[in-house]
Amino acid sequence: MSEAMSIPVRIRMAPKRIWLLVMEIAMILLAVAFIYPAIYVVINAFKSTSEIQMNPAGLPKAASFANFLRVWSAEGSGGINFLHALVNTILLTLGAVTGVILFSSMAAYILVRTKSRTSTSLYFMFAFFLVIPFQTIMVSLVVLATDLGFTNVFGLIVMYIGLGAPTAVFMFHGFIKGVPLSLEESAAIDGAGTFRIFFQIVFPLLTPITATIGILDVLWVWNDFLLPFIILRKGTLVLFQFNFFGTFTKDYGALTASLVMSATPVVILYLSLQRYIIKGIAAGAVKG
Amino acid sequence: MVGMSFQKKATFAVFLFPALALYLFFAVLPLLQGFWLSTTNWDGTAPWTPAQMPIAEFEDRIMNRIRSEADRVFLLKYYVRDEEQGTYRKLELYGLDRYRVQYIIGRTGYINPDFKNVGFGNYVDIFRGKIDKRFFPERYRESRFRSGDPIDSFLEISREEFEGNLLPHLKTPEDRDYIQGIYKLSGSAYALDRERIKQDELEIQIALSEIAGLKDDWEALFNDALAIGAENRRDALAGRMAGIPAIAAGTIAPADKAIMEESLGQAFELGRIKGILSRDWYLERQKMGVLLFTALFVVFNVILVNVLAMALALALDLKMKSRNALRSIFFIPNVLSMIIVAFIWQLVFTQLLPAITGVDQWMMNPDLAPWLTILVAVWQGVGYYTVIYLAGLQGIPQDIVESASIDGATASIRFFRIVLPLIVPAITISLFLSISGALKTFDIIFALYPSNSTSMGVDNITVNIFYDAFRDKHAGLATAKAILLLLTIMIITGTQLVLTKKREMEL
Repeated sequence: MSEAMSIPVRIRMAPKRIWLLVMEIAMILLAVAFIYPAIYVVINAFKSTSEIQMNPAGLPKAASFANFLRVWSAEGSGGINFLHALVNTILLTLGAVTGVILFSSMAAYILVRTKSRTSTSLYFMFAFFLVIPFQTIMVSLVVLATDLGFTNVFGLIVMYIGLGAPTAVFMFHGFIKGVPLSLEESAAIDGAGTFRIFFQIVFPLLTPITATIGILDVLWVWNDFLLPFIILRKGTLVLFQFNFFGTFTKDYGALTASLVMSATPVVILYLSLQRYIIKGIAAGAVKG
Repeated sequence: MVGMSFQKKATFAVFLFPALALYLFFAVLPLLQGFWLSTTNWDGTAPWTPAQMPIAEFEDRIMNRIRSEADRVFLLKYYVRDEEQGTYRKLELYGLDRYRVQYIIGRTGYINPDFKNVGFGNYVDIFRGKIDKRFFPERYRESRFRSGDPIDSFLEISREEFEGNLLPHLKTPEDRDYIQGIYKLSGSAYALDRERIKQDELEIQIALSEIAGLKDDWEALFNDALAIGAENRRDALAGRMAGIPAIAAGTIAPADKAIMEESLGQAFELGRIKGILSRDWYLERQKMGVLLFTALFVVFNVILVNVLAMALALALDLKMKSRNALRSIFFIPNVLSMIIVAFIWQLVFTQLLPAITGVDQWMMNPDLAPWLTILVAVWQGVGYYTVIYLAGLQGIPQDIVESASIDGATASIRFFRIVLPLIVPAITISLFLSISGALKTFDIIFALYPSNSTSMGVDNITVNIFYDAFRDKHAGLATAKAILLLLTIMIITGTQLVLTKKREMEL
């Protein structure tokens, strides 16, 4: 390339690099401003209530963990303290998400592999529920849960499996359609039954979509408010948080600490798995 | 299915059963029951069958009309004859038995006033506007003055208030002349002419109470003068004074009489001003009601979330060193529960913003409240849509954009002619998710305004349905609204999908 050609290229590149730097700085400032409300809460969790009221925006004079201890030892509404709510939420989320993944993948698999009118109409019956707002079933669910004695964590797990099934079946169905039959056919020739074929061959192949559904459903069940609220009133972490704001209305030290504590598990989960979570969300959105 | 072997059918059933059964039981059944409940007048708590009934009535209207002996025996398991009260009393009733009791009693033709079929009555009521006023937009008057307010509250009226909310509302020219006569513009406010209104209420009362001849009459006299003033009946005042025993008897000292006339004249003027102010000094306001607020919330939420997410995605698509960290930050609010998000902002609105801006009222200002709910919802949602748009942008082959820029296409042409058409699928899905998500938003509003969403005008449709169902005892009506919401979501998102899919095809 001649000297005359390369000069304009260099001149064009330089402003572009400066522009990129300016953009980067602007975006960093924007991100800090964006997340500032959360930072503000974290900072204030280390201050006493009176310090928060006198100096809400500043840094704490001395970091104190007193607020966290108060939240930890608070009795909580209905005698459910923080630890109890945390354990309940972990059980609830694990139970519900395991159930959704297991049962929905099985159902989706058999719906894809069975070519019949029944199977197609069952698939559409699942897909139909994707647009239903929760409010249409809200009142009936309360009646049903009371009738069944399902107003506990176990009942909630069972309900979440039923309510999570449509989305999961829909997404598994889309994925399994792309899984080649050849492996299954050779396993069948070797005499493997449908159960063995599914759990030993097919299910491991579903890992990408299982991870996506798992992530979406963990966030859904962990963060859900309305269903636990109308069925249990107390007992999950989100409900602990909600009730805590109802009882400690003006105790800003305890309130900010409670927010930090109940957000921590999900933020840790997010930061350690963020690449998968973001990929999963993007994939889930496009497939959902 | 017909041609399948038994073993295949069995496997099909076993694989399908758990998911299908739970789905049918906890999603489809409640939906069907929801349709049914939406045709009843159920309040959400009343028993479906009467809790008790006089013995004679129960036997005549129910027992004697049951044909099957088994049904009669079954019913008597739950309805116990209580001789003392003279009634049949119902025991605790749960589960399937409740449906059976309901069915048996329903077959006798007995209609329970607390749980009866109203057909499409709930739907008709919604469309005719025969439901709670807060559902529909409404004009109302926000009074600036109540007749009990002290004199300080109308000594000075700001020019804006006076010319905007008082003068145009005065009905008679007489009132206009009067008000303009006693209020004079000084600086930026209209001040009461203290030459004409010399005394406040307390001073008038003291003056009257010190007049010997009035004894116990002065308080009633003062109140009557205020009331007569409010009605502007000057002649009635003279009549009222003539009726006082001391005046009628002529035993009052002339000096006292003069003070009394002066004071009552002042009371009359005060009464007149207060009457006019409490009647005509108001702000004409528009209440959005549930419907309009929901529409406002959805429109602004969808527009802001999508525009901002697109802008963020374009910025994060540049080759910046910190792009991954930035993306993580913008996404964080999305993994938090909406309850936590709402409470974070509640602390910001009640503690941080008042401290740094000096403006105290944020959440409790009805003009701001709707916009604050939108702000919080956008903050929570924008990261999610950024990720979707970013995935769309990263799917665009780089060489297309580069060759266009070598051909001399400007940034805006590249964006509108090349980038935008290529990410229409991402736009389709983002619009779909954000519209249905915004229509279904509940947690954020409920947590930001747990007790006063109604008075702040931020009840959206889901919050309104929740209150109907669980607080205001209109479970049937609430479910009818929810089913209309379902239809709305289907129509709006359906239309949107058809329109954007058409664009996708055209491009």
